Amino acid sequence: MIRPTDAFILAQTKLRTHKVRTGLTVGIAGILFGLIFAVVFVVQGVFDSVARFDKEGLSGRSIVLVSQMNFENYPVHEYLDDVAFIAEVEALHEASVVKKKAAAMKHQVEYDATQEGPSPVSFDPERKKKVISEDNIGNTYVVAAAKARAAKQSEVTPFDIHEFVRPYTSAKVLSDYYEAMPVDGALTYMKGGKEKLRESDTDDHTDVVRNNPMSGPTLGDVPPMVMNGHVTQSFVTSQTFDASSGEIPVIIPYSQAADLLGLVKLDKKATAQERLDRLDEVRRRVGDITIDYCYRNTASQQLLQEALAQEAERERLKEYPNIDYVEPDLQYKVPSNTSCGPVEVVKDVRSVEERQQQARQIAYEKEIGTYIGGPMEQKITMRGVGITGEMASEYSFGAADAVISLLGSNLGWGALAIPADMLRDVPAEYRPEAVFVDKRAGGAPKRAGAITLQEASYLVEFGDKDEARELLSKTGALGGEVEVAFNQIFAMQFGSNALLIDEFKKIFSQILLWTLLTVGGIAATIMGSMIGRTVSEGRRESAVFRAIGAKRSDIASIYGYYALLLSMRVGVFALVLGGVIGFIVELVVHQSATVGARLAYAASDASLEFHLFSALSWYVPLIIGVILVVGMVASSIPILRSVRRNPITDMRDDS
Amino acid sequence: MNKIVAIQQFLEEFEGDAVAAVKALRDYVRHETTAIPRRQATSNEPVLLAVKNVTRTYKLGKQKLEVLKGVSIDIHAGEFVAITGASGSGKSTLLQLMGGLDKPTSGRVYFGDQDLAVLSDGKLSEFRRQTVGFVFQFFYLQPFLKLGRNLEVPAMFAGVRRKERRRRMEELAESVGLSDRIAHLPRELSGGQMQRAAIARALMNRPKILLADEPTGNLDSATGKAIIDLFEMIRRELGMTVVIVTHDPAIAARADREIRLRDGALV
Repeated sequence: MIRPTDAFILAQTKLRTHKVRTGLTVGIAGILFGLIFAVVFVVQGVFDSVARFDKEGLSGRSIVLVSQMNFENYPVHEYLDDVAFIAEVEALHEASVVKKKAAAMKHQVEYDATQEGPSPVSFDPERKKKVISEDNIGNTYVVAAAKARAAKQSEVTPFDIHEFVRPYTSAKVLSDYYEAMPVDGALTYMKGGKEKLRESDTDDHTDVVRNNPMSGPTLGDVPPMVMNGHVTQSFVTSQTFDASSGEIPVIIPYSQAADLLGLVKLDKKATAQERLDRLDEVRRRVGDITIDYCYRNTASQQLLQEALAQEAERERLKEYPNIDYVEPDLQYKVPSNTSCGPVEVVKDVRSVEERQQQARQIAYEKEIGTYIGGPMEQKITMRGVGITGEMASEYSFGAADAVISLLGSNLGWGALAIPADMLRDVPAEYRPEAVFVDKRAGGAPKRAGAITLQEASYLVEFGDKDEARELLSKTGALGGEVEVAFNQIFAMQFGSNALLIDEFKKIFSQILLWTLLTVGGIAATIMGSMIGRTVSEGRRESAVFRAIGAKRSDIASIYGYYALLLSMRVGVFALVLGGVIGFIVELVVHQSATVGARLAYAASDASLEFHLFSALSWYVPLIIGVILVVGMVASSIPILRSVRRNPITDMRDDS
Repeated sequence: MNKIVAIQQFLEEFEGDAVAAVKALRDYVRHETTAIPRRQATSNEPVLLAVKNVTRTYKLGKQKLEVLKGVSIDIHAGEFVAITGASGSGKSTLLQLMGGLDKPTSGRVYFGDQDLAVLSDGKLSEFRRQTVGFVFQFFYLQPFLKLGRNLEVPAMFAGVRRKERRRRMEELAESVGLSDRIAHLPRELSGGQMQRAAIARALMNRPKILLADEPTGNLDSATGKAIIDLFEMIRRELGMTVVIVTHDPAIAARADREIRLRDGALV
């Protein structure tokens, strides 16, 4: 029996004699496996980096935003030809008119039929019957009648998030996730601390961060979101916030924060270091940022409009002194645009009768349910307490862009985020309930229109990633079959793509497996044919070896080592090639990816690096194993065929 | 004068391999003057290899080709036997059967008491490795191995350690006059040198019998003669049994005994 070292020596000598053939085989198979190695190195590098950054932001957590998007569907069109329905609408209208007339009589006010509007039901002379025209399908009475009818026909069960997530044992519904948007009136952004009152005021409310259309919604566009403290905590970096000051704590999207600090936009060609320095500066100075909002209820808004109209009239008088002008009995003054203050009465020369008339009017409106209440306004000042990354912004570029969109850990989509726990510490008088109230409790606000969209969103945190994935896949957020009925529930991962990345990791294993099988198959064919040729060309050599005393197993062992050596060369070449490619990717992309990752996570640890190369993967030994197995399997058939041959024939054939 | 030309021609055959040439020449001269008497009687030595009524049939499609038809031979230890016959007479087949490279269709081949027919493939390999030294017409040196390594190969299969293997190889290379060719590849050697190397390889595992199939068939007559001289020397000095298949009557004449085959049968 030949010693392994001797079989090795003979195999190696043989390998050296077929330089071109060996080189080609090692080259082609090596390139195939080398590319796989490169992918593994880079992907593993990304995975490792993601794991490092996981501690930042929300990446390590499985938070799902569940939105109930219930289109309250009442098919008005189906009812329009229904005589009974038309009668219902007519009855509703008439009842309302009767009620109003009675109230008017009671409160001694004049019933104004013109304010009521005509009945939505009219007579069509051509069809000779009563109809509701298409124009009137949004009419209050039509909608009310249609809703009542739809409600009778189908039982509408209100959405209960706790019921919805009950099957998921690790799921926990996080309280507080709502828009700071008043039901009555509006919360408007005071750009530069100023309320936009007049048309002549510079209209740049919406261009605060509109420098880049990709940067998402702007301060003026979306209301701030109040969010659960468990969600926001990792984004809060400011240590100086004082709740007793009456300011509302707010986490600001990075690029908006930079703009609010008045920092000059970085050039597209800015270096990675400049971008990182900018990030550090914004993070350091975020506590200096204040953002003013003005809350006015509808009555305040109406009063302000009245004051502005009076002011305009007075201005007109200055310009055209000859026009007819009757000074109103009740005169208002427009408040200062920095105050968000109330509209003050500067002159009231109304008669007692006029004042009583107004009181009666209010009593009447209260009775018929149209009274909007007294004016209310309040300036709300918010102070930066942290920054959040964003999906993509003007600050991202190239590889950083890709990293950001892959990993982006953020709070929503460009909206300011108010930590609910910190908000509760703010004295109540500074956070009016009209603005900061979770409207989901009493059902979602209803919007006008024939089809009302009911919407309520909830943050649900999962302890078990698989459960989160299950819910996401049921609602189609991860692609594939949607199990939950369309237009009912939407779910998406909130704050990061961790679950998608997780999913990708799983898919990656499958892709890699199939690629390995395919490439392994191709490489096996190449190596097999190469080894097969060498073995068949070496028939006489084998025959001579047999004649001078080699056993079959000796021949098999020599060619076995031959195949092993060849596979090892393929493996080493592939490793080196993959390493070089991976290293080049790391060299080229590492810096900008680090910027992207730190921006995406708004990482508080500024020393974190995003690498795109790591050889510490289980796939490395696996692929090496595959290469060796491929080599051995590919060689086994020609070797077995060879050792079974008759040495006499082989010696004779070739001579 | 003619002799000098003959010597010159002889030397040219060795292509500058002076040591080998001188050694061969010495042997040549020695044999010229003191020709070894042909030993006719060998029956007093024990039978080393016995071929008993052996037939060998090959199948060529549907046809059966009977190459050997009931051949019986005894080869005694230390004997120098030549097997002669025309092409296709079955002499190479007979040699292969003797060396355990092939098995007879019927009949028996005994080496000593051992019936080769009952040996497994592995045991037969072992037999060839330990007991037989093969020399072929086309030398069959491994083209990808240097000469030294070529000589070592049989010892590799015998599991001999490197150091011992190397010592034996150097000794054998020296004895066949190829010490300075160890590091050369076979293609860098002349025919005579290759055949001497092949003989050295055959001796590597110290076999009991040397089987040579037309060892001079691919060489010119002078080189061929030197090779036969080498066989004679091996037989003489090592007491080895030598069986040579040849169709050259001159070689046959130098053997102790000539076995003639015609159409697969002894004449």
